[in-house]
Amino acid sequence: MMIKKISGFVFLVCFFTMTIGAVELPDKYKSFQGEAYQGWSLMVDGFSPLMASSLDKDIYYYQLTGNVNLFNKIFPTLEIGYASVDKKLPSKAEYSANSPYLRLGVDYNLLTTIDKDGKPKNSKSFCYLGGRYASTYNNYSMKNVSSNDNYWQEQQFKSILDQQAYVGWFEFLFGVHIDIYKGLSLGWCARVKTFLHSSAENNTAMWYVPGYGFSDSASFEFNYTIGYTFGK
Amino acid sequence: MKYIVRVIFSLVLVFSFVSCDDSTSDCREDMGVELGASFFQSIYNPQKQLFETKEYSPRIWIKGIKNDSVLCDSLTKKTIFLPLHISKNETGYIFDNITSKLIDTLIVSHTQTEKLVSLECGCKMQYTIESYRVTTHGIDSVIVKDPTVNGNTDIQLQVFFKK
Repeated sequence: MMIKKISGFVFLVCFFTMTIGAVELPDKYKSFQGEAYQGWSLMVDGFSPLMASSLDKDIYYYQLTGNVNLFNKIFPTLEIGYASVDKKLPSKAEYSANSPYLRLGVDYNLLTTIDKDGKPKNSKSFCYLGGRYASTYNNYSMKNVSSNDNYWQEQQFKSILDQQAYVGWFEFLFGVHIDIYKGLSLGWCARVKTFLHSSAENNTAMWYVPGYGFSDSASFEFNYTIGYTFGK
Repeated sequence: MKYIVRVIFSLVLVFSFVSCDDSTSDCREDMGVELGASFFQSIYNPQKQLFETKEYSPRIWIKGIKNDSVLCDSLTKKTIFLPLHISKNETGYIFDNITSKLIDTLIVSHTQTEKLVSLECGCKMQYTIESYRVTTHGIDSVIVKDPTVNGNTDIQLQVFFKK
């Protein structure tokens, strides 16, 4: 599953890089020219929560992203979100969790930001690579977790309620930001996540971590955003 | 317009990829926890004038007390793994040594705690052997080598059969 996800991610990175066809070699541009502050953007992840809900009706989340444009090249980014899950598994075990989460990181514009004459381009569309440190204070509960013994034909259930765990993870992402009309933008990004730390005794006990996803492996996520760019 | 087409195309491709993901997988952990017992026999060596312990492989029939299912049906065994109760603190077994035609009862007293493995797998028991009682028709003695039972590969009991 992990290999499938990573290979899929690499495929998408390669595919979209070729599709956009605008990535130039690093020595062709001098990125950091002109005034540092170039505006700021606010984006709402609207489509991916709908998509996640269509795949699994017991999970929903909302996410808001804000970033500052520096030199049209570097985008310090803050993402805040809220996720909730209330799931009943085929084993009759139930898991519920709901928490806000926070992601802090930087995106790097892969496209050239100056033209052939050395003047800054005024393009607000770009593709980017980014990194995030993300964390949440996960509130979770489990009900009807079973213990079985087939020989003695015994089964007993356990509930683990009102658990809290501070969880941190790292995300590596690739995305596209398209300015469609005077600052109104659409975008998507794909991200792979890996656990960094957790205060929980057993990470796999947290079936789903808000913001991270399913805890049994490295998590993979797509976001589709609509937003607006303010300022310059 | 060109960009919008690209974004839409991207969304469709990505959606189809994500749709293939299966997040609610089955349990892949080995959840078995059983009491391991190995069989020995003490044989007197007149030359050395002492008892030597040797592995013993009797043809044996084993079942749990108050359980109709047989754990070992007249097979030649030198080790056996025995399931313990998860909701009681005593587990009993009947040992019918086909080789010697002697029947014994072993009752193991234990405490247990549940350890959560995952939501899919549930809890795994961890046992501590507190004591045991055994009849001595064919069995000579039992030694608790390790009181902790948390898997299904280690040996916790050494059962010594009479010659």
